[in-house]
Amino acid sequence: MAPASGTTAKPKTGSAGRATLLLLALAVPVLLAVAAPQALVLLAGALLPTLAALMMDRTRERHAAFAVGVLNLVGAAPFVFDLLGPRATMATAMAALGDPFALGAIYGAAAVGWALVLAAPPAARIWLAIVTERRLAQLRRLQEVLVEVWGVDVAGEPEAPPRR
Amino acid sequence: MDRRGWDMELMHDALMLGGRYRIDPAASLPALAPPGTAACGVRDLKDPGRPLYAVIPGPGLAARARLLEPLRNAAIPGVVQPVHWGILARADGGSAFTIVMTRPAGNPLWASLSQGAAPMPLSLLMADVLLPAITALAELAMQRASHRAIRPTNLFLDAPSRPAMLGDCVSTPPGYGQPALFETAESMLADPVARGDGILADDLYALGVTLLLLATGRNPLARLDDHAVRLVKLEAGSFAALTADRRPPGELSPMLRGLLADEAESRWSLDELVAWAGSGKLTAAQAAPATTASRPFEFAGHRHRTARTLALAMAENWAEARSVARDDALATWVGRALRDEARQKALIECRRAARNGPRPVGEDLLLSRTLAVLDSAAPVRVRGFAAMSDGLGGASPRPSATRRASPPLPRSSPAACSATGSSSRRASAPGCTASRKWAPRSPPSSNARLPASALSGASMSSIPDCPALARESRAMAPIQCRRCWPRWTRSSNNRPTRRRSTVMPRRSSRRGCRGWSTASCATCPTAPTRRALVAEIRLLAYAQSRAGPESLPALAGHYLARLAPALDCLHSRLLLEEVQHAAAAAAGRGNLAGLAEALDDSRMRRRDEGGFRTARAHWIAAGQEIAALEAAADPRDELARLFGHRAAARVASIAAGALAIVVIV
Repeated sequence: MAPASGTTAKPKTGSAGRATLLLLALAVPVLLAVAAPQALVLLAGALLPTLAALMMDRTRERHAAFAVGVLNLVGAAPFVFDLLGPRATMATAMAALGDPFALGAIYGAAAVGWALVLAAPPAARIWLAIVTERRLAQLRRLQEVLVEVWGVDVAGEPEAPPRR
Repeated sequence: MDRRGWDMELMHDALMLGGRYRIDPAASLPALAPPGTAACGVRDLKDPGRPLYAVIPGPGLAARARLLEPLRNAAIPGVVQPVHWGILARADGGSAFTIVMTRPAGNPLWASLSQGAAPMPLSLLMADVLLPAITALAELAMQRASHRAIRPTNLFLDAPSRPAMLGDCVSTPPGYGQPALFETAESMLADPVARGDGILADDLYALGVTLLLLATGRNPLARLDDHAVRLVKLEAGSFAALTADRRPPGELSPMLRGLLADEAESRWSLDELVAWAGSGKLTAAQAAPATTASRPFEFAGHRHRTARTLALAMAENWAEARSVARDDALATWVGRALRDEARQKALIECRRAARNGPRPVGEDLLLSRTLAVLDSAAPVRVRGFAAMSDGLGGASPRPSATRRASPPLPRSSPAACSATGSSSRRASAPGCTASRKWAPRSPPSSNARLPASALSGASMSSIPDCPALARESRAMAPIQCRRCWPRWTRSSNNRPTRRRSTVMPRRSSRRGCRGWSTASCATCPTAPTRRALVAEIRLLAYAQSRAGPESLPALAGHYLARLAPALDCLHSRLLLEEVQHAAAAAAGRGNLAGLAEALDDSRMRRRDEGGFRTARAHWIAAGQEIAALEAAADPRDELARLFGHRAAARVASIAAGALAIVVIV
């Protein structure tokens, strides 16, 4: 049976993407657990803000969780890379988790992501209001021009006075 | 009637016709020349042995040109056939229409009508004359033609047991050469030049008289002139008048009674004649005697007992008859003495219409109508001239070509034609075709340069002081139009009142309607006014194109000032300005056609209509979007949150990418 045009592509792409993401999300920890367990421990502690964001963001797109998560990850990345070397141990990971500077960098990046998530909607609201007002003005002007060129008959108002 | 041919000496010594036929005027052939014509020998240069002769109608006589081609092509056996015809130059500088015809073998059966000949045996009469004549007449009827020249002096017989041949029938008007003896009771009353093509029954009547004369060997009315012959036939009836002193052979009596019946309805047809010739058993109905009055009507010194003879006398004494037509005595006599109430009522109605009718009726017309009522089968008679309704065409070249010097035909005669019943019967019979040039209707308009439908009286009469169109719709003479316009355009106070409805010429109405066939125009309440205005301008533009002048700036300017209703249907201001500009330019040149084109441009109107529809759709879409934007408050918050989070994610991605690069570096 031929698929309906344009109706089945997106779900398939969306589900494939999610599956890939899920696979990565499972494969990376498994690899880390095998290759560098200390990095996994650090990652688990550092990505707690991301986990919280995922739980709080119930939207389908999960833009807020993404914003927090990507900054959280970037903040934790240098410390995770340090723990990937051959001389990295579990004690190093625990020391990093107790280091206020490291925690500050990691959680601070996540906080920046949260700040973006919280500040963006009001800014978008203001921007939308401006855009809407401009669009309304354009449409009203268009109607005025149409009436000016074609007469009040174009408005279709039966009680309008004769144009000429 | 002057029956002499015109002078052959006026012809050249020898003339060529068609580059092939040498006309020899010196070889005169009087036996072959119908009255009013001249006949002479002809030699065919391509076929010298071919027997031909030429007939040259006299001045003022119209040949039956309509029959020349059909008779030549049909080659009817038993009828002299035209071969060629054309114009010959005369010695006096004039020209003569000449017809070359096949020369019939033998001589005419009779040399003259007064002399007679030995009675023809019945067998020869039947075999050599009657049967060939029946065949010839049947063939002529198939060609929708009549002979109208059957008489013993125009029948040619080569030898016994050879069929006789009917002579020339095309060189003179139909019936022109026929004495009253050979004409029916109706057509004998008409002038010889105006007897008309007639119908087959007229030829059968002439054939019957011819057979009677041939059978008896004499003309019983030879000593009488045409006038006396008419009276005798009217009073006694044709058969009785012709057989009074000598009875025809008993075998022929039924046939002769049938052919010579004075009542057209009783006259034998060709089928009946053929049936009698085949079986000999058909008998003719006894002719009903003419209604005679219980007391005579005295007129012109005679006592008349029949309406027909009275009508003839009145026609011949026109001046005295006018007073009779105005008098009540005639109608009273018809009602009481003739006991004909219908005719009495008709006479009373004639006089009433003359007094109280829609237009004035002169004494001549009244008398003409009265004569038509008295004798409905007779020709139209006016002031001494009598014509069958299909004989006016033949009369047109020489209306006075009769022994009675009659004045030119007055205009009242066509109206009189409509009163005759015989005219309509003749007009509908086969053989009566267009040698009549004038249909008996109302007089043709002399102002016929513009078609009658082009200008409507209803519209044009809105122009004041226009003498052309007053009460009735009729064609407006361009010369009158020309007189109207300068007077009207010079006057600034002289404005026409626009009529509500205007009869438009077909072309203009089609053009006008095409431009208005849109939905908005159909519903526009000013559409009738607009169409009327455009139609009015188109009418005037048409008249201007036919009659001028080329420029009418004042008139065009007047209509320019009244354009508003015509432009109401336009939506676009830009197109409106365009039209106004074009109209102003046309009006400045005084060009009404250009003004009409500017107003009635269908392409421009389609543009306007299409543009308006698009504009309307845009307006509606904008309105819907405005309503949607103004109504969406809560969904906007949701939208803002969504956009905000999306923006935050993108900014975070960019920031993360930059940080990652820094970290890596």
